[in-house]
Amino acid sequence: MNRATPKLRIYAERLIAYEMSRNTSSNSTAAFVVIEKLSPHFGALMGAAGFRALISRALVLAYPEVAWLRDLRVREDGTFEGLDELEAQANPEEISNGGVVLLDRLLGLLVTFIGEDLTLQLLSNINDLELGPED
Amino acid sequence: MAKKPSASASRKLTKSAATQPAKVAIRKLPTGVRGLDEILGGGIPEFSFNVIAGRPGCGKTTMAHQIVFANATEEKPALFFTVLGEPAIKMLRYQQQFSFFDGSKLGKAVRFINLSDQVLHQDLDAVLAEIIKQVTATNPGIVVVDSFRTVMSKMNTAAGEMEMRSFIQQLTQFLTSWEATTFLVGEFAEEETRGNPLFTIADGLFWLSQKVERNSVVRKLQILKVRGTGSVPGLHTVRINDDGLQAFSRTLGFVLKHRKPAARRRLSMGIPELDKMMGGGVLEGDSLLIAGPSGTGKTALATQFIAAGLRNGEPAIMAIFEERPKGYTDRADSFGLNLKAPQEKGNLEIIYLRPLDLSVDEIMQEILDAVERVGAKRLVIDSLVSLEMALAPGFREDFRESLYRLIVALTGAGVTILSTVEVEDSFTGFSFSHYTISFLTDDIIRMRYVEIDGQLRKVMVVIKMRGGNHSKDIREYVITDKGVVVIQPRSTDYNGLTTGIPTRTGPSPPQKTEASPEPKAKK
Repeated sequence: MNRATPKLRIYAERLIAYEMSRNTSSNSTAAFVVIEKLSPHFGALMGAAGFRALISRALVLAYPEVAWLRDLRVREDGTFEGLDELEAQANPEEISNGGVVLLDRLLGLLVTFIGEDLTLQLLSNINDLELGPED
Repeated sequence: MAKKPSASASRKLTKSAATQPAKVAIRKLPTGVRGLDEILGGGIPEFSFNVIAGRPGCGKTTMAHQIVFANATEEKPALFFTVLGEPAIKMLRYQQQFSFFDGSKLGKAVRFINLSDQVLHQDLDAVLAEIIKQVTATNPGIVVVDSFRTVMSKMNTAAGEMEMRSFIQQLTQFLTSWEATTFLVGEFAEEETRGNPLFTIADGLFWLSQKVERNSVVRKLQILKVRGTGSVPGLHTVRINDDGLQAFSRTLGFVLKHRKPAARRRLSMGIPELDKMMGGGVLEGDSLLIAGPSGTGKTALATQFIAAGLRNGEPAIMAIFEERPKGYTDRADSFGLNLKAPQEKGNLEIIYLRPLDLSVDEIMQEILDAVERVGAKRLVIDSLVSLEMALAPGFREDFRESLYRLIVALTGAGVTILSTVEVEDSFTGFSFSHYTISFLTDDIIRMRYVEIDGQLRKVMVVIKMRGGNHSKDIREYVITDKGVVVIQPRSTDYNGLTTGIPTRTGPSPPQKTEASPEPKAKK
């Protein structure tokens, strides 16, 4: 079940677009980099274990749409285990789309718990995240 | 050699030193909790180190949030350290339901930091180091640790008592030096306060509790100590609603701007003959009790009292607990008294307070707020019996005390109060009320039924008037389309009216011979 609104989906895509524009990571894994950047901020708020639990839940929610996400595990530090292996095997576009779905589910979970306004407010406080241009 | 100051210069220096403020002025921070600043004597002393304690569900975290949101700015943010307990995401989920929660402050003015990892996996030094790191980086005005009880549990298991004392001491010294006003929130039991260094060191100790009585729950707040300011002692009622915590000071925090006028007027009751019985009317600023059984016209009399005041330009409040406001305005209409227009103009408020489980202080506060809002000169409480019924059982024992405070406060400010009370008509006694509240009142009027000439008729008598002489006559009255009307004659041909079964002392009036409703038995 996707609890994210279309507005949040666009927001997720813009976060990823900006990350891709920085060329610091592979375009296909930009969504995962965004999630990893969220970790210290949301970890500070809810505890590292709390945010890991949220990512794990987002992964499960994304499985029906992106089956290969089952191969990923969340490490203690909030990074993804198995991503490098996947990147080597799968289609980059497929990975990129999977990342968008995962970020979308994660933001959807945050919206479910604390509402859209507060979610966007918290995201806007993260300095190393920016929004890409609107389409 | 230095020149000695002249005598006049010495005097100037002495005078100057004397006029210098000798003591530091302690700024008081607003709590954001309605009623609490007043209980605290103006607010929370700045840079103080406080403990908010109590059992689960008392509102500790909500109180801390209100203080945080009331004070946090981007320049002087609030740091809210969460330690295990309620996950922050759920805390945000619930707290944002309150009106005080300002999401736009989150992240910059209000920062939540989770200390669970340090508490779970590291020692107290790491906990302190993290607090120091965050405080140093953000320079906060307010610091909250919730729950500090969890941190203390860690100390009890992993560290000795001295280490605990040392940790608390270091934390206090650091946060005070950094000019932070601190709140440690925790679930503590009262017996834990004895010999606990935390409670010794703390400048302020806010104790929240819940009392369950029958099916109702009553929340209370006690300020066990607060250094640097005088607080209102005792247990204060606390309620949690959409605005968060609201505290009701035991003293009702009632400081009206107007005091009772030195020369008091006689106010019309709206019933000319009754005014005469009362020596010209009720004295302004008096508390008048109207006692009588159901149906004797107490509410009608109260309505006429209010209408008379409104005609005289005196705004009014009717606090009612039985009938809905429409019933009052309709009744007034039937007496030719228009209450709707003054309501629309803001000169009259009819407050309908029916729900059970209200605290007496809450009701009193509601009435006081309305009196302030309207600038009321007259107040009707209809009736004291229903007011008591509207209270949660746990508050009923406070009823007389709170009523006393309300009446003293309001009459002291020159508001004239008319309260009604139902009493059962005993045909052997003549009680004024069940509540032994007559000591609260300056004046008492008793209404009752009497059996006269085969009819249940109504009489009233002024029992007492503190402010002067009054008629001792027992007067018959009727309720007509003008309301309560005291009828002639002034003197009666009866004795024993107060028993309800009087005996005729005068000649019996001629009566028509009527046939018996049933045939009499034949001899």
